[in-house]
Amino acid sequence: MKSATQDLGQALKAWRIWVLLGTNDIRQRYRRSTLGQFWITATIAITVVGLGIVYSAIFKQSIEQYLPYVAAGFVVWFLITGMITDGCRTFLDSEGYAKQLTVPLSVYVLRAWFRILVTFAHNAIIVPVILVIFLVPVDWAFWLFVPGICLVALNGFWMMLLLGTLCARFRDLPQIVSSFIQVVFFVTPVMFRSDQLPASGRAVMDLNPFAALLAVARDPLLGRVPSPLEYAIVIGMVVFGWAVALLVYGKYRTRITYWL
Amino acid sequence: MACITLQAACVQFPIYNARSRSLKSTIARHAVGATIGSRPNKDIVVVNALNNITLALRPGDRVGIIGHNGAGKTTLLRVLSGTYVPTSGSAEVIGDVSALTDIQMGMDLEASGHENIIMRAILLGMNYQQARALAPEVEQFSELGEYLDLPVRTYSTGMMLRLAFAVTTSIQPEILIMDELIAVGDASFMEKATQRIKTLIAKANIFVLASHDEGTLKRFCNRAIWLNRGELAADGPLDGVLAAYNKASHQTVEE
Repeated sequence: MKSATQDLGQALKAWRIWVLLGTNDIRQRYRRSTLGQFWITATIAITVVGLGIVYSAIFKQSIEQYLPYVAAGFVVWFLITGMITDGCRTFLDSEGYAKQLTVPLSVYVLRAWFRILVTFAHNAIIVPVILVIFLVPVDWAFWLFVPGICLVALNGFWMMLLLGTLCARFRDLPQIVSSFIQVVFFVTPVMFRSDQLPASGRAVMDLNPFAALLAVARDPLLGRVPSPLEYAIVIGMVVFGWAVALLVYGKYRTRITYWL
Repeated sequence: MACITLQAACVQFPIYNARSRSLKSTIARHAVGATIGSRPNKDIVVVNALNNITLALRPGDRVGIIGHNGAGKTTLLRVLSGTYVPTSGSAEVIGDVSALTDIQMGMDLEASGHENIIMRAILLGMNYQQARALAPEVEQFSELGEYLDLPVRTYSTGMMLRLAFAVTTSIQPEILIMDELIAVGDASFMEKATQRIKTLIAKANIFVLASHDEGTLKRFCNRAIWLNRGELAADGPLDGVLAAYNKASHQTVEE
């Protein structure tokens, strides 16, 4: 574990490299398009507005209430799932660099992590816009989204470190993870509200860590203070997850290059 | 001072075939037990790429690595540069290393030459200020002039190599590692490039070159390491090791 933290410390110091690689990943994807990286923003805006219109009708909710809910939900959800699915490919995608540069491998995790945070920043633009359009009142609780996002980012990082290591070794894990995420999406209140569920369903929802993760970052945007239980689950995940991820990464760190 | 020390370093590559790489089959194996006609770990083939290598490189060493294809030369270079950590034994690398094995690494074809210079320089460990300061020198050396404002995908292969070469070799490392001597460009550029590599080698504390070309080895190296099937067959002054290597090669040919 000590070797893992040292590795990570050195990687943080090499920030120029992961910031550069991360930004370049995004630039490369949108080069030569007029909107450039703002296609990220445009894509989520289209998704959210489309879903908002259709599902507010299906769920018989007013669009003024439903659209901000779905917008905030998807912005945070894409952050969470982006970290998990991209996390699987961190080392696989960095093979060329890993076999030549002598920087610690966690640099490549930071690269992907940074890239996803930049993407998130582009997605997040739609939230204030929608809040203003629908005149959603903003009070002090709104600012709780800052610690909320930090908790999500911290949780995302250990997931990326752990999944990246495991996926370098087991090549069908990325597929397993992405189907798992799809299932999780349907049992996590991104599109629906947990208060639409019967009481028994809500009890189960309280135990869904993804629901808690979503809630601490999304709910403040809509003016709701996340519950102590939700914070407890998410902070517990940070502590437990980092411990496991550092142990696994520390143990197999030097093997990863051989697996690539 | 730069130095590299290997103590009984071994490198074993696990070669997982598609089956054993999957988590499913690992779980299946554990769930079923190892009884149903398959030995555990049967489909993991282990290649002993390097076996029990002990050596010390000190400042002033100009080391040529020789051996047949598959003898472990590239693997040894990766251990010496620190990207591979030995599976058993130890490798200690002190000093900053530059491995010029794939000089086009990380080149972004859609980005301009200038952007690529900055990117490459950052990857080599410079800060942004140093990277920008490097640009004029690279521009002059690569002779690419206004082309540097165009995306690299518009370059010919030769131009691309010139750019990569100019940036990569603009940093003087303490430990310089090469897999075959880099040769780029047309005759006149080649001369410039060779000159530059010579200076780079001369100023490096330790220089390691894997090569099949005896002439090159004689020109740049004073010590040789002969690898045979992952084992250290000989380590010593260049001429002696080369002679032994050639003799052994001839013998195998005659046989």
